[in-house]
Parts: sequence; structure tokens; C-alpha cells
Amino acid sequence: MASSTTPEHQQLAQAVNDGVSAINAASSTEELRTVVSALTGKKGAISSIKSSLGKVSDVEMRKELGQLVNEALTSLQSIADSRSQQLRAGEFASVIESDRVDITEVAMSARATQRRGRLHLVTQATERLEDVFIGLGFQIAEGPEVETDFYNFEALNMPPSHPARSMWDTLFVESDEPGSVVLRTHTSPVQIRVMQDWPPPIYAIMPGRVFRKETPDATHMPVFHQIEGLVIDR
Amino acid sequence: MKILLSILREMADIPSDPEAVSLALNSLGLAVEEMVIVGTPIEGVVTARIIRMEKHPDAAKVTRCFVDAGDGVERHVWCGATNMSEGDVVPLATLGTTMPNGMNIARRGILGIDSEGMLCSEVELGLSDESSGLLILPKDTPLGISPFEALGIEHDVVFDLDLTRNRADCWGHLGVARDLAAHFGVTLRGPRVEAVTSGAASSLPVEIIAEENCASFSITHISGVTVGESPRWVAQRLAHLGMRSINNVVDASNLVMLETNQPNHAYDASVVASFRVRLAHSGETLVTLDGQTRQLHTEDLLICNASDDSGVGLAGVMGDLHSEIAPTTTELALESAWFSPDPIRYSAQRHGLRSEASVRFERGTDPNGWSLAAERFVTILKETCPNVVLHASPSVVITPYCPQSVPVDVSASSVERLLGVRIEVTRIAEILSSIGFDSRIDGDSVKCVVPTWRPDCAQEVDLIEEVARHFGFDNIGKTIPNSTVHGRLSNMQQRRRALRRVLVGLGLDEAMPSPFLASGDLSRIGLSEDNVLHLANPLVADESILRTSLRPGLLRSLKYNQSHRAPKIGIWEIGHVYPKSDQQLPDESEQLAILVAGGDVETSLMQWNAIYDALSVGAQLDQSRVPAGLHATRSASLTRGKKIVGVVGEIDPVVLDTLGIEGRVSVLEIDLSVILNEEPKPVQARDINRFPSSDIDLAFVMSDEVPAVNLQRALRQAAGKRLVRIDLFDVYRGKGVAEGSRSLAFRLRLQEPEGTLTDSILAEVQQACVVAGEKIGAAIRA
Repeated sequence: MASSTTPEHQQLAQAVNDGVSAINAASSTEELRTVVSALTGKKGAISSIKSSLGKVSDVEMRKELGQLVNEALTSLQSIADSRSQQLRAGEFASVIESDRVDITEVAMSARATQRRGRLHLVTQATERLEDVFIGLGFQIAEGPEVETDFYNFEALNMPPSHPARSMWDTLFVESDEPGSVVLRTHTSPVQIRVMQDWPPPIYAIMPGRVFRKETPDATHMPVFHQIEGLVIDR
Repeated sequence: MKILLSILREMADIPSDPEAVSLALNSLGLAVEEMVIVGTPIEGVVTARIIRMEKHPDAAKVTRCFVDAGDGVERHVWCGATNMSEGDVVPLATLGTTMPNGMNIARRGILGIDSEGMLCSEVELGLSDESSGLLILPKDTPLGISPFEALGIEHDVVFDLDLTRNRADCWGHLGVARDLAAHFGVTLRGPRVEAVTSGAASSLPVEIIAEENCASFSITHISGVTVGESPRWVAQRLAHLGMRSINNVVDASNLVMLETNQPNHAYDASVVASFRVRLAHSGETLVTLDGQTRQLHTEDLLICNASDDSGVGLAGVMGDLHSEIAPTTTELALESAWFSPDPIRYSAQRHGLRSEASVRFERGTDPNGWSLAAERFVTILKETCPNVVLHASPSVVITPYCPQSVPVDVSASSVERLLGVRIEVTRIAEILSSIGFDSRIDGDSVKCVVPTWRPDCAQEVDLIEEVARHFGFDNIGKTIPNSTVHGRLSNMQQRRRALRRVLVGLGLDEAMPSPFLASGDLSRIGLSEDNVLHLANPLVADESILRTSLRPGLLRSLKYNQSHRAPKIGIWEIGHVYPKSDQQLPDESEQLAILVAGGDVETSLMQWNAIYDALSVGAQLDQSRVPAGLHATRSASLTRGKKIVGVVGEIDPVVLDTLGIEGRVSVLEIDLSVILNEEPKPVQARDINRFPSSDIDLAFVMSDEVPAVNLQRALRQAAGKRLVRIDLFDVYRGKGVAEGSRSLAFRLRLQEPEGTLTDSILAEVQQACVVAGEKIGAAIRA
């Protein structure tokens, strides 16, 4: 068996040559797709060679030609793939170019400059303080801002004669029993409530709003925030 | 409380370095709020006499002064002041002097003639805030000395202490000096008291009727007094301590109080020579020193002239105008008493009259402080009245109500248990003795007698605090407790923080307005004032009501921002409201309110969506219940059955007009006491259904009277378990749709949970939807 050049060989070489030229001549991915399907399709030149192989009587020759046809198809497909990539890159390059923006201009747009809201400074400070204590194994206790005299003073060992109980410092709420309801002057009443409600051990901090009868100035406010802690353990 | 270093150093040999003293005060728990150095002499400023003055023809506004600073050199100085004359002694800042304001005195010229220094005013020397020309010194002032020395101006340091409530004794310098002396290990001398020659015995009669209120009362008779000006140092010290100089007698009285914490009052003994202390009668009046006529209360304690029972002083608060010291007064009756703290406080409150004396009595004075006060008073007076006589045998009445020294035992083991550090019993005794507690060691304990100037020390724990202060908090060291619990936020607190993040993520800023409102603030915005609580003692009338809604504060903020060129802000607050309840305490709850200027109902619904999505909470929109103060046709209540958990919509345009706010304002309010306390449902993940889905579009015509949600609900029910999602994609009013109705187009996505959707099922669902629509009066659009 000689690897001779049969008419089939020549036809195949011609078909491959024509195919490569057609692939290279395609000017868009769209056109390429048509070219490729024409080349490799059932009615394509290569397919017709393949179908004519049955007429080759030499078995060895038929085998060789069959293999050559398959190789030709594979190589055409691979040439087409790389041409396709090339064309696609070129096509997207123009799409991308037509999409061009000035990033700094977009950065000034209403949507891009839509800002996040801000937490109040007191909230920011409170959360940071809470986090420190949470890290130390503390829990956060809260309580009412309007309190009874019992929780705000009496239960904290502040006898009726304690100066802090006087009208000068405490804001009182009008009630049936005058003086019995106050705006808490400190967060300490929460300690009492925690001790009543939580089983020990207790590791707690009490942040919150408190009230004093103070005229506002650089260092005083009638409403301000405190944080205090309580530990009860054996 | 202002304290002067000069007075402290007279009482004990503590360091002169203000920083060292300040450090010591802070470590003793007497927090120094401010430290001001006063009367510092300026190096290079000397007294000089103006020998002659000349005008320069080309410089009309300045004068050429030729001065003699006592060194025999005639100096030429240009001067812009006009109040001096030849022969005057004035301060001269010589060349090279750095003035308190940082200016350097250099050789400067006008019209080519150099100035060899600067003549100074009080302002330039830092002695005053204002002056009208040069400081002119007495003509006999020696030349070439410091004008500060010439004027007897003391270099001093004022410490402003932020005292804790318990330290009543530190309202006098003596208490502070005692602590510092112990701290620095030096002897406490106390105020300087001269051996005053006692005059003839003279006991002015005293009678106490209200013994419970006036537990001790002393009257010391003093004669040989000439009323006049105080020595400069007395006036200066009073000024530094915030009091005005009146005359030598009143000033001595005030200075003694500031030094020893013993309030006292000097009466003209020729006017009041016998005393009675009683409660005021009903209807009785007194004209106090400030010129005000006071209507007395039957619980007010009154010092009376026993001869006619007329009031001469509101005890512990203020003296009366008529028995005031006169220029002609020569004899004094010096009162020094111990009054019960509470009645004095109530008296001061009733009359809105908080005096230096009442503040001290309220906190508790030393019942044994009277004799030192009298001796110090006479010592100070002696500088201006060399012939002053302190009469022997003062009248002193001590009632059984007078506080006694209290015995308290301190055990070393209690100290260790409370402070966490072992302090030897000998050291404990040493510390307590050093601050005047009579201490005797008894085994592991110290048996103490609390001095009468420390009414705050009543129990062992109080004395342990004293031990801790003087042992030094820094020496105790610190240990961070090893918590045995799991540190975490509660579910509610975590949800509150999540909510805050959602709100800032929506671009909304947190606001924290005052929780106090004025009467009318709520009714002005359409809210009821029937359930508000009033403060019994508000600071100002505009802050006399506790809020029942967060809305007024946020609306005020919107208005303020609009007035300052920020017309469209979005703000929120999470805070408490305090409506009245039938219990002792109000119905306090935590609320959220969001207001957006320029926002509309859609804005608030978008916010509500974001919140319920983030927090997994739900509520129905009920437009039939229009919340008070909201836009009647663009608002709804957020309901859970009958319970209202919030409101959504826009602020009533009438309210906005009243407040002068422009544009629409969206509002969302949520009762967080309900929403945050819920356990969120765990989020469930599901596989993507890989069976095909189909969309059907259905448009219905329905009366405007029926809410769209009714139709949506009906369609949901009709489509059943195959419904994956339902969207309202078009709303149309106009041609082709009857007046008063609108077309609502829904897109339903349908999918079988298992298997492929068949055309017959689709047709079945579509038919069921049409029927369901008809049932609620919605006709399918052809």
C-alpha cells in the first residue's frame, strides 16, 4: 500500500484549502457560523467526499481516507474556533468602546452619591461601649425612663434626706402621690430591676437616657446618657 | 466648689506646685474640673513715675512720657492713654518683657523716636477684663518694684472641684486641706487663729423653741468694731472664690464660711441683743437681704429678736434687711448654728433662695464648728479693727437633737473583702487617724469615732471608702472580672441593631430630639393631649410635658432644616414615649418614627417593606382607620387584628401648613415594643423548582372603593398552591374603564411543585381566578 495521491486525496486537500479560505474570509461571527455549517454540514464538500468513500475498493485506502476526512474536519473546526474568537473580540471591542463613560462623571450622579444614613453620635458611642462589655462577658440591661421613687432612690440606699432627691436635681412627674414618680436621675434603678428579675450570676451593663434638672451649658444637659455596670457572682 | 491654694497652704504645708496638688486632689476623689492660675507677676514690669509729658506736633493721638523707674535713668515712652498726669506712678513694661498676651516689648519708634517700653493698663497686666486707661498706683509707691507687689496682689491658684454629694466637709477649705495634709503626710494647722484677748464675759440671751430644727445655736459678742473696707487680700480671695466684697465685717463672715464650712451671720448687737429661734407664724413676712418680701411658711425656721419677737433672719438661708450691719455698727452678735439639713433645704426651695449658707446646711455642717469660726472671724477682723474685743462666755445652746460623734468599727477583713487588697490593721488606723477619726486598734479591727464634720460616715462601708481613698485607688490595682455568663445582646437588642442598620442603609439619619414638649405641641399636629404626663417641676414651661409621640420632635427638626436650606432630609428616631396609664408608671414603650421631607406614601411603604423583610414581621394595611394627624386619604394603620402596631403614609397637609413645612412629608411609625420582641422565623432555603412555569396575565376592573389587596388575596386563594408569585404590573384609570373604577392587571406565575403544568390545569386556575374576582365585584377585562 502506497500513500499515493488519489483523486479523493486531491479533492479533500482542495476542500480543506477552500474551507480555510472561507473561514478566514468570514467578516463576522454571524457569517462565520454560516460558513462553518456549510463546510461541516451534510451537504458540505467534505461530507460529500466522506459519502463517496464507499466507492473506494481498497480497504486500507478507504480507512486512510476516512481518517484523513475526520482530521480535516477537526482541523477546520479548530481554525474556525480561533477565527471566531478573533472576530468576537473585535465585535465586543466596538460594543465596549461605544459603552465608554467618564467614571468620575458617573461618580457624581445622584445614584452613585446616594449616601448611607448616619447613626447619632450617642448611639455610635453606646454600641461601641456595649461591644467592649459583651466581649468581657457582659449582657445589656434596660429599664423604664420614668421611674418610681422606690427604684430610683429608696432601693439604692438614698434616704429621703439625700440632697440628690431634692427638687434641685430631680425632675418629678405629676402624680396622685407627689414625688413618687420621677424621671430617672441615673441608670441605677435598672440594677435593682435586674437583681429582682435575673438569676445570678449577673454580669450586666445598663446604658441609657437619664434626666437631671440642669440648665443646659457646655458641660450640663437636662437629658443625657449614662452607662454603668453590675457584677454579682460568688 | 472653688478652692484657693493660698488658703490651703496657710492650713497645711502642702506643695506649692499646682500640678502636684491637682493630682493629689484627683486621686483623693476630689475631682478638679478646672484649675486657674491668677495674679502671676510679670517679669520686667516695674513701677515708674511720670516725670514730664510732651506732645509731638505730628502725633496728636499719643503722648511722649518721660519716666523714672527708680534707677536714675530717664526713659522715653510713647503712650496712647490719656488718664495720666505728671507725677503719677504707673506700671512700666521694660524692654524685653513678655506680656501675658504673648506680646514682646521691643524698641519701637514713632516718627523716628524710639519708645523704651510700654506703660500698662490693668487689662494688659491681666488683672482685669476691662480698664479705661493706665493703672495709676498710689503716689507714695516705691519705684522700680513689681506693681503686683505694690498692690499686694497674691499669686494664687483656683481649683474648681466637682465634689461628690457625700463630701459636705469639703465645702470649706478646711476639709480639703485635711485630706491633702493626710495625703502629703504633713500636719494640719487649720486656719490661722490669733490669740485673741478675751473681753469681759458677755452672754447675749438665746432661746430655742424649735429644737428639732435648730439643734445647736451660739451667739458670740464682739465689740470694738469699725465698719470699713476689707484688706485687699480678703477682697481678692473672696473675688477668686466668686463672692463680692461688701465691707470688712460681712467679708470676714463670708471668708470664715468658705474657709471652715461654718455659715455664720453677724448682727448689729445694738439692734439685736437677745435671740429666739422658732418656726414662723402663719402669715408672717420677712424682708430678706436681697430686698425681697418673703411670705413665710409655718415650717420655715426663723431667727428672732427676742425683745419684740420680730424675725431677723430666715434660719440657714438669709438674714433680714433691717438688722444688716450699718456703717455705724460697733458691736456684733455673731450667730453660728447647726440646723437640720432637710428643713433648710425645704425652706430654700420654697423661697427659691439657694444661698451659700443654705447649700452648706443642706449637706450637713459640723455642730462643733462654731468656736473656731468665731475665733477666725475675729482674727480676720483684727487687721482692720485693731481694738476688736471677743467677749468671753458666749451663749451656746446645745439641744439633745445635736448630732453626736458616732462610733464605727472597721475590720481589716471587711476592708480586704470590699477592696480586694490586704491592708494591715495598723495602716487602717493610721489612715483614719490622719483625717481626724479617733482610732484605736482592737485585734483585727479599728474602733473609730467619726468626727462630727463627717456626717456622711455612718457605717463601716463609709470608712472603708475613706481607707481606699487614702490608701490610693492606684495602689489597689485593677482586675477585670472573669465573667461566668455568655456576653451577648438579647434577641430584642440584636433586632434593634439590625433595624438601625436597615434605616441607615435606606439613607436615613438618626435624630435624638428632646423628649420634653410644650403644651400645645401635640394638639398642633393633630394628636391628643388627654393622655400626657406633666412634669411637676419643669426647667422651663416649654419643656413641661412628656412626649406621647416621636412626631413633634422630628417635625421640628424638619422645619429647622428647611429653614437652613436642607429642604429634603430623611430622619428617624428610636425612643421612648410616655403616655399616661392607670398605673403608677406611664405606659412607656419604645417607638420608631421615620419622617422624610419630600417623601410620599410610597416612600413610607418602601421603608415598611424594607423593615418587615429584614425583621420578618408582618402587619395589615388598614386604610379605614386613618391615624390622627396623618393625611386622611393617603395613610393607613398597620394592624394585627384589632391591635394597631404602627402608621404609614403622609403627614396631614393642614399640619404641615401650620408648621410651615413645605412639600409632602412621609411618615412611618412602628411600635417596637411589639415588633422587636418577636422571635424571627428562621429563614428556609429551598431547591429551585426545575419544572417549567407559566405566567398568566389577568386584568380586572374594580371599584375604587375596594382595596387592591382584596383582589390580590382572592387571586392568591383561587390559584392555590401552584402560585409562585403574583405581581400587580399595571393600574389604569381612564378611557374604557368606568368612572370610579380602575383596571388592575396582575401577573401570576404558576408552577407544579412536582411535575409539569398542563394546559387544562392552567385553564382551570384562570377560570377559578375569574370567578374569585367576580365574587368581590371585580370583572375580568375582555
